[in-house]
Amino acid sequence: MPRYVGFIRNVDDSRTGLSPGEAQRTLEAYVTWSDDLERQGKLVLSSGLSHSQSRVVRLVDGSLASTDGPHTEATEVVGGFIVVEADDLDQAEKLFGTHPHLRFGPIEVRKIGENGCEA
Amino acid sequence: MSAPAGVVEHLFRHSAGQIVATLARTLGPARLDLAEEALADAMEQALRTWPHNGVPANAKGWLFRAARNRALDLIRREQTLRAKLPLLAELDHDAEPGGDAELAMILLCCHPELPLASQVALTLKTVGGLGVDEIASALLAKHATVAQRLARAKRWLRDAGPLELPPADELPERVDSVLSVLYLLFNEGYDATSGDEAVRAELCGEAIRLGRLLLADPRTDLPRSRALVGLLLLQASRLPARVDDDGDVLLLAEQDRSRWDTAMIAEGTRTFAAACTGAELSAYHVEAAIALCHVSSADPHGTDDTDWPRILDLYDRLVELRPSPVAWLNRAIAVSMVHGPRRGIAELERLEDDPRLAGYRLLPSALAALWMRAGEPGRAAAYYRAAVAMPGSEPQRRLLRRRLAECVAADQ
Repeated sequence: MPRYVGFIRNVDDSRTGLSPGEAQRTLEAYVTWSDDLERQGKLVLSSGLSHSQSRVVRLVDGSLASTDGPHTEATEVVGGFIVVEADDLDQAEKLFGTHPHLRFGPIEVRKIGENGCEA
Repeated sequence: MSAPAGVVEHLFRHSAGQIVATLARTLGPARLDLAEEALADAMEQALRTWPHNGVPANAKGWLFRAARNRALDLIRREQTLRAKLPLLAELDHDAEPGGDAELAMILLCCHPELPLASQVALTLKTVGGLGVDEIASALLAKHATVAQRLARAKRWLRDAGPLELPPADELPERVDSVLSVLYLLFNEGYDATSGDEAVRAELCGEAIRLGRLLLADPRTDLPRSRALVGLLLLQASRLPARVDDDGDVLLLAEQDRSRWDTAMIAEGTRTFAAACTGAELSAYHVEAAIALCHVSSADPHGTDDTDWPRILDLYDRLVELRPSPVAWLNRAIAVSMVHGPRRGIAELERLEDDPRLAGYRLLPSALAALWMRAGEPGRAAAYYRAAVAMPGSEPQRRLLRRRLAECVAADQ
């Protein structure tokens, strides 16, 4: 079955300032979402991405340069990713469309290429 | 609903009090704020990692360690600050606070790393001296939204480095960012779609004041800075004439030109002339030139002598430099003044499918005005009805309803 990755994008730090009660409900909603998907056998992989342990490497005029952190100029930083199985992009969109993260930022859904690179 | 497997029930709420209390006992109750901030950051960190990696076995211990580490960070930051104490004491108490610092602050508030909406809010709060309520009212945003934007922006500022003018090679780009914010600020005030009129007039004034600060320093006094300030002055000169005594919005052709601020027109004209000394041509230059055409039409009670062919020519330049749908809309109106209403309508109809103009009241009202001029009041009325249904201030709706009534009467 085709696999789709959802990049969890955080808009700034929109989750700071939650009260403990709100944080609890948010956590429960996130975990419930993953649990449900796992029960349906659709969850492949889910992982957070570190903010502090990150570096960007690039070639600048032919020599290697590295800067700390994710792309700081972006206001939306990818905070994690989730891989699911779905029949098609529409179904994948539907699955991610119920994710509680959407309260805080967007999720970018992309099909994972099956036969090498797909357009 | 009970907690899903693996999530300790009421974990955050029950741990929160204990963690904050333990930190505050160590730091002293006066630092309750720091303890709470450390906990909030720890919870945020938990929300970022636990949903993926699972809730750790000793979740409360994890949270506590994260909060303690965060508190350590915050205190280290304060130590850095404490090292500045002698500098603070050295500040001469007779000295005037400097415009230099304010200029550096504007550039920092308008930093391109911040989202544009935050740049605007932060500028208004920090250098504009507006309160959260006033900013919310001026930007038509909720109090909570503005407060949150400011809180996030201030968190960003904490890591932003020293408050100094950026190096010369970065300066032009950073000035551009300031100009965008001032342009937006002014338009928020000028378009006055709703909200407190007095506060919105202040926005226009503030945009001009901050623009003048850019011109006062040779490093930020670029031709495009001058062009923007000239543009804002020329636009602001018409502010007093934009509403009649009942607070109803008046169109350019209906305005009493004796109420235009001639001193401001003179300053705007001078500033714009000073912007045109080099080879640089920005969109602000073109817009200022258009504004100048409007204010320099001599006839006090009409637009007949307005140089529309020149204005159309300028709009052609503008859509090249900044092809925004609003620029195209204004160009279409200039087309109608030069080549007749039906040519203008044809241009406007091409914009009707542009999603960026969906809900933009000025598109249907411009189409309505042109159909009226083309002698088809029935079609004009339909567009006025559509415009009335879109968001806008009460005076603007009254204007549209007045126009609608005229169309309906003419259609009988």
